[in-house]
Amino acid sequence: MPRSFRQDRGLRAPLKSRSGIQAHMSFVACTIISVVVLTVSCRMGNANPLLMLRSAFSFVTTPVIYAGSLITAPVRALGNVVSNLSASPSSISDLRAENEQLKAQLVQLQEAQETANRLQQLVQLKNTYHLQSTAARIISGDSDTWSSSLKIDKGSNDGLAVGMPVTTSSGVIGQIIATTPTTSTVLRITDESSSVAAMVQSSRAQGMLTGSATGQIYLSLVRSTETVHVGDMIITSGLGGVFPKGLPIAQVTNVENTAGSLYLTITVSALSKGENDEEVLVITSLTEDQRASAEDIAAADSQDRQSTQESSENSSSTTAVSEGADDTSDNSTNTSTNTTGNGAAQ
Amino acid sequence: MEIKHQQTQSPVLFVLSITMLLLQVAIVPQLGIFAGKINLMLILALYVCLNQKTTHPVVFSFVAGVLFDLATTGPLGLMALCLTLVSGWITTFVLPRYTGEVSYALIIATVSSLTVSLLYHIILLIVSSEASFFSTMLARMLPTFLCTLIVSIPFFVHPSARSKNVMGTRSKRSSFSYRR
Repeated sequence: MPRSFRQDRGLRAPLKSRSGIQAHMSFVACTIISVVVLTVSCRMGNANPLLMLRSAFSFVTTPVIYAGSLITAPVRALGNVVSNLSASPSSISDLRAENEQLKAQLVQLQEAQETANRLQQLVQLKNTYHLQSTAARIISGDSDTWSSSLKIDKGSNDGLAVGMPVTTSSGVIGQIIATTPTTSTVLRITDESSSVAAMVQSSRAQGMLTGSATGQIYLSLVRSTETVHVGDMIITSGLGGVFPKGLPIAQVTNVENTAGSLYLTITVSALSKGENDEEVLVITSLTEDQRASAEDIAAADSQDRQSTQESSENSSSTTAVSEGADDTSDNSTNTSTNTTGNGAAQ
Repeated sequence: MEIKHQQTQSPVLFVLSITMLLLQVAIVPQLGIFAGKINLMLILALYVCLNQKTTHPVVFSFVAGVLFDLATTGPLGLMALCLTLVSGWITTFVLPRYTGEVSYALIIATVSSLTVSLLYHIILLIVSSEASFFSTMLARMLPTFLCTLIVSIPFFVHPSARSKNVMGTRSKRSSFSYRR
């Protein structure tokens, strides 16, 4: 045996005996600690206080994990390519089918989201105006070319009746004209037989909103002395007791003041187009504050009386002029038309 | 001489340990075959035990196991227990016969990897609600064992792996050699 090795053994023997005991002790201690920690970890589950250590470790090593993720990104991408290349045709076709299914589900979910948004707007409308109403879904549009109407999926079984107003979150769309136990037909405000008592929101000038065969909507019976601007909002006046007061209906798009005429010719555009709506709110009853007040009725009456008076005065003066003068060409109608957005008529 | 060697070995071991820990935390979770992941802490513990890079291989292995447990989602103390047991077995029974041969080191590494992987997953099966024994063994244990074994080969084949130990000699005597 070489001398150095013997010397080495001789020197190390006492040390080794000490270190051997230490090694045994450390082995026993480490084993016991491991078993205790393992037992605590398994028995206490999420209430384990040692989990704080793991959280701290995780917090400290987060930057390292991010760095590792960045470093291994190309390798993982390569792995994906390899696994894609080695994928069996059946698994690829399965994945394609699953992809199609997921796409269809995505569209359904987006549709559900849109529906939820619309319903939420309806609920907001209901809350804003304190409407007693029933929600319904539009199930079909115009059934014929003669009338402008639509069908909803609620009928007399749900408490709906003829005459009830129908609105969407953007504005009034019409009035129920017929019901079956399960469906109702709604006459749109664009129909020529439709008329809704309305008023200009800014000037409170009252009139009647009527449809036409062309689909245009007019606000009639507004005196030419009233101030109406293009862009003004038209709301329900509550007169007649059918529509609640204050619901938005349309917006003024054109105002014509024909000289000598008692009334303005006001063209409006409906806020709710109807064909783009899917859910509606049928107003089943009105509260007292939703009806037109006594002041509104009095204002409408005075407006009507004034118009009648002016009409009779005009007719008498016209008769006198036609009788006393030959130059009837001087009384030709002077029409001023405002088609632009900033037009106004008085 | 002993002190001198300890001084020269310690920084190397420290750097190696930190590197292995960083790799275990950052890289290993991103790579793997099936559910199998490389156990770098096991490789580090085996390397240190077989080559006597520290005077307290069991404690070193225990700490490596604790760090592994902290870096993973398994029960705390499980890998620490496994590595402690394996390092105890190596220092008590393997090192007295170990002469630094590569083949012998690889056999020890294989047996140790298999033992630790098996023990770890069996205990996990017992303590967790993992359902299938065979799927756990085939999809988790076996890939983990194979990955760990493949990555560990350079540590025992490379000449620097058989460098002088803390006692200043080639790796051929254990700390318990006084018993013979």
